[in-house]
Amino acid sequence: MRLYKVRGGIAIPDHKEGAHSPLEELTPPAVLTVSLLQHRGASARPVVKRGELVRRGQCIGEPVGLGAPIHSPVSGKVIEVASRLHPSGFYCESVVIENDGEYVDADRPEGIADPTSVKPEVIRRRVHEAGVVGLGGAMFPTSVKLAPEGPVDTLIINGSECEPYLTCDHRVMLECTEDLIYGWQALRYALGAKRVLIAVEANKPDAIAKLKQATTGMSDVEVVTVPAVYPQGAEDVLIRRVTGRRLRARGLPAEVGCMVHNVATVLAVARALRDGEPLIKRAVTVAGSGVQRAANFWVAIGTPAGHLLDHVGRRDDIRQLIFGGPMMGQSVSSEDVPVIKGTNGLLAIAEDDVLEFTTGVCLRCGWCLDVCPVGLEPYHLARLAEAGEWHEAEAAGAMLCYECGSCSYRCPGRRPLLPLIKLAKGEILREQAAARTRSQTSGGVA
Amino acid sequence: MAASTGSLSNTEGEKKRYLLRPAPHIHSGQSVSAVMGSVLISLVPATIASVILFRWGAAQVIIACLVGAVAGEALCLRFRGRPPSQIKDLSAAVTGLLLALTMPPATPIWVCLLGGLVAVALGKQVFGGLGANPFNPALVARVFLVISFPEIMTRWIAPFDGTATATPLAVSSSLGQAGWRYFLGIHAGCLGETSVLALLIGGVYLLARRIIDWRIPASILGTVAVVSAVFGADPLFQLWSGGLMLGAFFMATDWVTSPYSRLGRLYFGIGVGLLTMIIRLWGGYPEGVSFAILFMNALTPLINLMTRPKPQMESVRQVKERASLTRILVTMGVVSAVSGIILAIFYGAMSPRIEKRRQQEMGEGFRVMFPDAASSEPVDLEERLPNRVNNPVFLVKDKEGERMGIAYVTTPAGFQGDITLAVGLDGDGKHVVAVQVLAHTETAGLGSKITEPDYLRQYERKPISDEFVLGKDVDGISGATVSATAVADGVRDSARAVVEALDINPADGVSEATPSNGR
Repeated sequence: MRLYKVRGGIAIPDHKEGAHSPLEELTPPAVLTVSLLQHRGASARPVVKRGELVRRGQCIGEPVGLGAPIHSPVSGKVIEVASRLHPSGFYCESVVIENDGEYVDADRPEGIADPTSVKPEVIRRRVHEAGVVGLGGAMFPTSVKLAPEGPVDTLIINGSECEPYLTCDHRVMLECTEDLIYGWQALRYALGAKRVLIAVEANKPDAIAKLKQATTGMSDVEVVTVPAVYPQGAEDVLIRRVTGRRLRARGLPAEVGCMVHNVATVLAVARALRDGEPLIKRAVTVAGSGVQRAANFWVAIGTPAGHLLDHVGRRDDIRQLIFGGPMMGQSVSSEDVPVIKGTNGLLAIAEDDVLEFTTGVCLRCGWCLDVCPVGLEPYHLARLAEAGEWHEAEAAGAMLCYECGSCSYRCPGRRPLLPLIKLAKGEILREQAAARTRSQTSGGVA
Repeated sequence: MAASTGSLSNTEGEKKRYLLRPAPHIHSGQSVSAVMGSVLISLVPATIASVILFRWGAAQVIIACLVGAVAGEALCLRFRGRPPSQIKDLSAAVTGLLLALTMPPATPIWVCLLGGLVAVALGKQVFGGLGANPFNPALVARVFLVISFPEIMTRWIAPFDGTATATPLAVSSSLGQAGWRYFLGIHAGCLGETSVLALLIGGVYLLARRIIDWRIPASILGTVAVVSAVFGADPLFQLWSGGLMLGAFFMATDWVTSPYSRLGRLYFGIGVGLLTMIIRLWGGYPEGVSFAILFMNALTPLINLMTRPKPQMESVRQVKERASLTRILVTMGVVSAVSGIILAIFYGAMSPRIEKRRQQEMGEGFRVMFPDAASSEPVDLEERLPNRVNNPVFLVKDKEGERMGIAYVTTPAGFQGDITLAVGLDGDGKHVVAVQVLAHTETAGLGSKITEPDYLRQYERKPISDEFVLGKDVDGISGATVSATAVADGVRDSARAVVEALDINPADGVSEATPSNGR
C-alpha cells in the first residue's frame, strides 16, 4: 500500500522493554478512586451517594452534555464522593469505592453476536451506555464519533503507539486480535465505511504479522506498516500518512472521509457490544527506570498508581511519576492519582533520569520547524509566549499545536518550547472565554 | 479474585511527593556545547593542515585568536553579569578558531588577539550574546581587521618555507596545471582557505552529523560554479580558491545567522554564491565570500519572513502578513524602478556637461603637470594609438609656442578594473614628467595607495627607456602587487606607444628613447 509523505516527526529510541510481557490481570486494590472526569467535556454527575452499595459495572456517574457514563469497576461500598487528585494535576469530583472483593456484577445488556444484525443506532447507544471513550488518551466519547457529520469511507485503526515505553496497545493487538476484528467490523458497519486500514508502526513486526495472518482473505481490511516516527499516532499524521488526505486546521477527520480509532478503544467497543461489558478496565503499561520490570496489566479504572508500582517492584530513587508516555504524559505529584480511562501508561522515573527544566537559548537552528508535524514555528510561538503576546501567538497558529513535544525534544538549546506554547494556548483560551462572557453580558444589557 | 491489601500501606503523613515537570519528559540529549564541540572537531583537519603548511606561523595565529575570543567572552560575561560558566558552551572557542582560519599566517599576535576580542564583543555580545547576533561573529572580526589593517591582513607567506608572496586570487585566475596543489592547499592564503581536502573532510563530518543543512553549501557552491562557467571564469578555480570552501561549509551554515527554514536556506546559499561571484568578478575587494555572507546575514530576517512555513490552514492574520510582505517587496521594486528612470533621464541631460567638465578637469590635470604651459594642442592619432591610450594626445606648448611636453590619458587594467592615468612626458619624449591617477577601482587601503603623491613621485624624470619593473626600478606596494604593476606597465607601454605614434623626428632626439625601432 502506498504511504504518503508527512512533514516533521522525529526518531526516538523507543524503549519498548515491555513489548514481550504479556498482559497480566491486576487484582484491584482495597479502595478505588473513580474520577468523574473521564471524558472530553464537563465532569459527570454522580448518581450514587456515600454509603451506597454498588455492583461491578453499575453506573455511578451520568454525563452532563458531551460525555459518557462512568461505571463502578468493582462491587462494594461508596466511602465518599469527594474531590480527589486527577491525572491532569487538578482535583476532580470522584467516587471513592471500598472493594468488597466479591465482584458481583450488575445486570448487563445482552451481547450482540453479529453487530451487522442490529441497526447502527443500537451500536451507537450501546457504545455510549458502556461508557466507551477514546482510549488513546483524548477520551473523546466514541459514540459521538459514530455519528459523523459527513460520510466516512475509511476507518483507520490506530495501532501506531508511537510514544516510547508504552506497549499496552501492542499487547492488545497480539493477544486480543479476534476481539479487534469484531470491534472494527462493528465500527465500520456503524459508520458505513468502505475499508478498514490498521496502521501499525514498523517497530512491532510481531503484531503486524499476527494481524496480517488474522485478516487474510478479508478483502477490504488492510494492515498497513507505517514508519516508526514520532508522532505517527497523531490523528492528523496518521490520516495523512495512509490516505494522503489533509485535515483542515482543527478540522474533524470525517471532513476528509476518515475516522480514526485506537486499538484499545476498538477492544472496548467489542466488549461492550459482544459481552455487554461496560468500560471498567483497560490495558496499562508500567515502565521506566524507577521500576524493577516493565509490564502490561489489565487495570481496573480507579486503581491508584501506587498499586501498580507495588506489583512491578519500585526502586528507592523514584523521583517522578508520569501518567502516559514520556513525550505527552502528565507528571503527577502523588501515588494516589488513579488510573482513568485515558491512562495508557504509568512511568516511574529514577532520580538520575529526571529531565531538568531549562530555559535555554534559541540558536535559530530551525530544527523545531523541521520536526513540527503541523508546520508551525515553535521558536516564534515560544518567543511570543515569553513576551505575553497572546494575540500574536494565536495569529501565528498556536491553537493548531497538538502538543506532541517534538520541538522541545529536539531543541539543542533546550528551550521549553512546548511548555511556552501550552502557556500561550491556555491564555488564549482564557481570553476567548472572557470575551464570550463580556459579549453575553453586554448582550443582556442591550 | 479477592481485593488485594497493602496498596495504600503508606500512611497519609509520610506520602512521597513526586517532582512535577512539564512534558516532554525526555530529550534528544543534544546541547549547545555538544554541537559546538562537533563544529570544533570538524575544524580539526583544516587546523592540522594549516599547521603543516605554515608551521609556527599558523599555530601562533590559532592560539592567539582562541585566547582573544575566549578572553573576550569571559570579559563580556563579567560585564553583563552573566555566569562565567557560559564559556563552557564552547561558542567563543568556535568563533576564535573560525576567525583564525580566515587570517593570513604569521599575522602579528596582537592583531589576532584584537580580532578574537572584536569577534566576541562586537560580533556577538553587544547584541545580547549567543543566539542574538545578526552577523557571523568571526566574519565581523575578519572584515574589521581587513579594513583596519589592510596591509597586515594581506601579507602572505608561501607554504613550508615561509617566504613572502603575493595574494593567490590576485595573481592568477585559473588552476592550470596546479589543480592538485590547490586541492591539497599547497599555495599561499589564509590558514583555512588553502586545503580544500581538509575543509571537505570537516564539512562532510558536519553534514553526516546533521548539524549543518546540505542546502547551504550545495546552493553556494552550485551557484558559484554556474556563474563562473557563464562568465567564462574557471569554475574549479573559483570553487577551490579564496575562502569559499571555508565560507560555504563553516561560515554560511552558522545557525544563528542563517535562515530557519529549508527553503530559506536555499535562497540564502544562492544569494551568497551570486554575491561572491559579483564581488570577485566586478567588485573592488578580494573579500568576496566574507562580504557575501555578511550581506546575506543582513537579509536573513527578510528571508525568514518570506519563507515562513505554511501550517495546514493559514489563519487570516498570516495571509495578511504575507500580503504586507508582498506589498513591501512591490513598493521596493517600484521605488527602485522610479529612481532608476529618474537617474537615467538626469544622466542623459547632464552627460554633455559632465563630459565638458571632465575635459576641463583633464586640462587642469595637465596644467598641474606643466605649470609653465601656455596652451595645448590636441593631436588626433586615432589609428596609431593602442587601445589603452585615449585619443587625442595633447601637445603642450610654452609661451613661445615651443613644444614643452606631451600629455595623454591611458587606462591600464588594474586589479578590479581600469585605472585612469594622466601621463605627462617631456617635449622630446624621453622622460616621464608626472603621472596622476584620475580614477580607479582598486581595493581601498591597498591598491588605492597608487594614488598617493609620494608613491607617484618616483615616476618624475624617469626615462621611458627604463624597465619599469616592480622592486627593481619601481617601488611596489605590499598587498597591491597587481595595482602597482598595472601603473608601472601602463606608464611604460603607453609612453613608448605615444612617442612612436607621434613619430617624433629623430632630429628632435626622440628616437633613442624608442629602442624598439632598432637604432
